[in-house]
Amino acid sequence: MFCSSTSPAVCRLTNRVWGTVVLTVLFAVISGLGIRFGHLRGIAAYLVAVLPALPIIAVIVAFGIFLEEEKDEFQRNLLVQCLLGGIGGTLAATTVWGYLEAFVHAPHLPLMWIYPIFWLFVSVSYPVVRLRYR
Amino acid sequence: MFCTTNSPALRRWVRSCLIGSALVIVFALASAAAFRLWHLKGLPAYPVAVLPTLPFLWLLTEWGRFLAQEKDEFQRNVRIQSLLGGTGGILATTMIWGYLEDFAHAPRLDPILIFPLFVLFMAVARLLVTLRYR
Repeated sequence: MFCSSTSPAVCRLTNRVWGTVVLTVLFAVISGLGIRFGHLRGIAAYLVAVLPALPIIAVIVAFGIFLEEEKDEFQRNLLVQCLLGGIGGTLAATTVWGYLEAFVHAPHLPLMWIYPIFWLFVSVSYPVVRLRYR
Repeated sequence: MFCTTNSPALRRWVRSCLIGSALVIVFALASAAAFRLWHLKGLPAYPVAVLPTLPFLWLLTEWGRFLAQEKDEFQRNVRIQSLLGGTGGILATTMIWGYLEDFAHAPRLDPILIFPLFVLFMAVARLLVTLRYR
């Protein structure tokens, strides 16, 4: 539906990711409303709070499935290198920020930001990895 | 000294790990002592706070170099799968914890803990990947 790629694995990944994006928004709204109007506490609050994270975890699983399904060795290798670049950048950034929080009282980094930060580093890695294979 | 493997890349990586770990402890103690003794504030406080992260950043680059230099395709593949497993684990955990912090006022997770948590997830993934190839 949203996919113009010739690779069936890429199309399946794209569809899965779009599905999870819709679910993330839906679950975040449900959780927000549940916490705001339901005045939830304790275990119930924890369960509702975790709800929007589930589709995001599904994206991670979808990428794992994609890496198994993708037949093109080169494309798979490219993605793996970008993902490794992403986790390297994320670990570097969070470690530096963690020490800044501990020693110079930098503002707390909300953990929700780590996921977007990871994808930011993945997208920065992509042109670098591609340049390597020019 | 601590490594019995035949792979020069692995030997270099183990040596880097040992040196890096020792440097993290030394730099963290030096930073903590500097803050305690000189009550650093403002701009000079930032480089001192970041000092213990330098061995981490060095280790991350050594990690990349090790993966690039490892000649054994199978071993490299196992390591890459473990790294990806660790990445998935840490992203899922931080996402869940982030929503719990935000919606259910769960206690803050220190960003310094993200690197060790990642290594923990990677070790679990390594075990699972190794079992898969038994």
